[in-house]
Amino acid sequence: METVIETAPQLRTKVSLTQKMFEFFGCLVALWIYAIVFYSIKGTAEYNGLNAFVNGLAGILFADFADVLYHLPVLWKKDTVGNRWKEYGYRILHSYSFVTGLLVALLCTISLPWWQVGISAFVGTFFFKLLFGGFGHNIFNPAIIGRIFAQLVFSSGMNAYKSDSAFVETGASLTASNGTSGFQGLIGSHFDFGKVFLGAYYGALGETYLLLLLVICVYLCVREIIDWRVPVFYIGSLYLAFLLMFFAMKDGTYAFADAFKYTAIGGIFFGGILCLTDPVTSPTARSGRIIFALGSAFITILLRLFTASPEGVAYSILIMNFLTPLIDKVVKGRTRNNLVPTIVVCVLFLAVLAVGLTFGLQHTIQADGRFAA
Amino acid sequence: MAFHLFRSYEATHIPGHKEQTADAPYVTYAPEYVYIPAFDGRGNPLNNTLKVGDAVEKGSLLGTRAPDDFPIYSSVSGTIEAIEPILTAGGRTQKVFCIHNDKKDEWTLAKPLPSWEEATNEQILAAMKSSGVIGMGGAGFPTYRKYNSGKPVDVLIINAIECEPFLTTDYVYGAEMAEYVWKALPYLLKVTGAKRVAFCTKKDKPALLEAYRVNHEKYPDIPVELYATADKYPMGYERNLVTLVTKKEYMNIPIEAQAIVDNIYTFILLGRYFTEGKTPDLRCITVAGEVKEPKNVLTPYGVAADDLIALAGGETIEKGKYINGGPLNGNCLASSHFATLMQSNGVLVMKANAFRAEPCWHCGDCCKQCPMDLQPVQIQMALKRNDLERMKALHAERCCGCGLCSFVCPARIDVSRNVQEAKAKVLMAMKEGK
Repeated sequence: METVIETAPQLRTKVSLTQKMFEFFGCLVALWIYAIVFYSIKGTAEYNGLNAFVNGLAGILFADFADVLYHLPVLWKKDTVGNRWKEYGYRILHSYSFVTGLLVALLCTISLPWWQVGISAFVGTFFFKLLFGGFGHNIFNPAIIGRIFAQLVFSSGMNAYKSDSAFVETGASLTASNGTSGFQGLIGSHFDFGKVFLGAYYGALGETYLLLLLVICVYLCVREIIDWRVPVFYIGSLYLAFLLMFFAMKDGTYAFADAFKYTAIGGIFFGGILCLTDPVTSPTARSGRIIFALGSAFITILLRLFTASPEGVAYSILIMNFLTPLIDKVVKGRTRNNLVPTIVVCVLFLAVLAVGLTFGLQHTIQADGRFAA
Repeated sequence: MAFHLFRSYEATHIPGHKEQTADAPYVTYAPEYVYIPAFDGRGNPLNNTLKVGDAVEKGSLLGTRAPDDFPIYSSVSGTIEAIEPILTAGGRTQKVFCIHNDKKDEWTLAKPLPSWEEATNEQILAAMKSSGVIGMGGAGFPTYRKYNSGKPVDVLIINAIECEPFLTTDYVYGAEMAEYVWKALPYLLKVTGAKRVAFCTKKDKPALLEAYRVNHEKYPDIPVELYATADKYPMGYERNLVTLVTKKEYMNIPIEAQAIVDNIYTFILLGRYFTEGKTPDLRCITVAGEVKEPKNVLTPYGVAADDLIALAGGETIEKGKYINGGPLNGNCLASSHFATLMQSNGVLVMKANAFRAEPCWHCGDCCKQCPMDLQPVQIQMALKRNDLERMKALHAERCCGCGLCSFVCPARIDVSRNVQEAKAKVLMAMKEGK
């Protein structure tokens, strides 16, 4: 027998990173298919299922095109080992940019032309992932970068889609910057729970299908591809904060339903389950991840309630990505020494609740669902 | 499993592969030659060694270890044909006694101890030393040194967990010989002053549970408690057991928590020496993995691994690796012709992993599984930056080397090796007094 020597341990788990990434990608594809079906049935002539399909494909192809460009030197560099074309293909596949690309497409609205989706995906992948050193070395979530890029540069495309007014009174789709009104008008009678769960309203391509998102969340948590702590603490703390807000507005028992709707519409579930949990850009320790999720919740609620921008999820994730090394530093020592993390978690949790409560005390809710100071 | 929001799982289930050898009875095997190192564990030559051509019997003194005259005994009867270097299970090529086995099984018996009431502490300690018994869990540390520290001992822990995949020696042979444990215990309880004994095994090992029940009924005066743990790795690690039994943590050695941990086979060998005067000779070795007929082989220690693999029908793969010990802590050998040591408990043939490592994606799986609650990924990052302060802050010195972090790593990074490198750096800095 030909003998090889390897370092201990000789036995390794069967679960590989590639497998985990493909499982994650499969979840995104499920959302994508749902979106295609939804827009085929409910879309207009201008924006239909084909658009949803083309947008997703453009995201994937442009993101992988970034890899194709970036890894070109492999083909002539002297230190390339083995078959050059094989190595080139390996590098492109194992950069997992197709995940980023599809995420960008799902984070953008359907009204964005396919080439704009593609450029956003390319910018996110090339400048914020590959130039940082490739997969595993990026500081910011490249998909979120692509989403913010699209919102800033192609804002007309993001906002162009005028939805069916029977669903959303405010006119523009949810993630579009719909002025100072934010989501305030949305919790009124136009939303029932069925619509919220099945996603029968217009938002970004992948963010509205709450039921599917929850199924995906459970699957990813059970498979330990994402840490359940992040979505649970992020979404949970935001829900509790909104609950306090509506209680303070004297919304009565409607507060539970209204707070739920207020959490469910928009990007909180999508961001909390699929973007915030990106392991590359989040802390490694479990306590660090809870701090990370709560910090993001704090920024989200601040942006949502006190600024003109209705959608704070993307920015909050970006800011917390930036703070990830700091959190890793705070969570030092062994994970059983949890005094400091516990204090930070409690403080952040109370801060999130306090923001919701403060806003609720300063405002009242009107009959049409809008807030008045 | 307790629910922890912040802490790690501390142990995790890994595929045991024990079905290969767990149910079959062991086979006995007398090799033509045995190879017993003429060096101690640190690589120093033995003193007072026998010469080439000398006749030996089972229990003949071959030589003594340098600092404390710790004896090394022959495991077969026959003649020393050569003293020449061959590859030993530790990975070093060392001079060994090549003893030709005449298969007569003649004994040079030592004088057994009197009954435990009559034996004095000095007698017992001297017998433990002259027995030549070393830690059979794999460390190979002379056992008597654990007992003569003079520190108070509260509990003796019998480690019959055997959490390494593939290995079934304690399960098959340890369970059969378990009575010797109960024969050794009165002496050990007397010499240490310990008040209780913990018999630790896994819930899914009926033979050992049965052995405990039978012997506990037979010797009701000896205060042995049963601790049956879940089927997790690394439950059998010393620190986990001490924490399980005493609810205390310690820094370096278990005696700090007033506990002494020994493998069940160490106790068996001690019991055998105390009552019958027989020095260690036989060792049950699991030969498993990619071999035709995996089996447990009861053989004199020092047998060459290729003999065992041939006994098990030979390899079934073209390209692979030879492993001494279990697959998680064991080491790869460059050739199958290596001498097993007294503490060797397995010879495995496995397929090469041949993984290509990917960049760390910070999934935190290693933090989630670390039995010592460390953060291997952070330690690894600190090691890359050569940031000693950060390594100290992360307590890299507490790594127990179980290898779980490498095992779970989906990116196939050698996390465990990096953490142990960091541990070595931190320990070095601590030694130099910062």
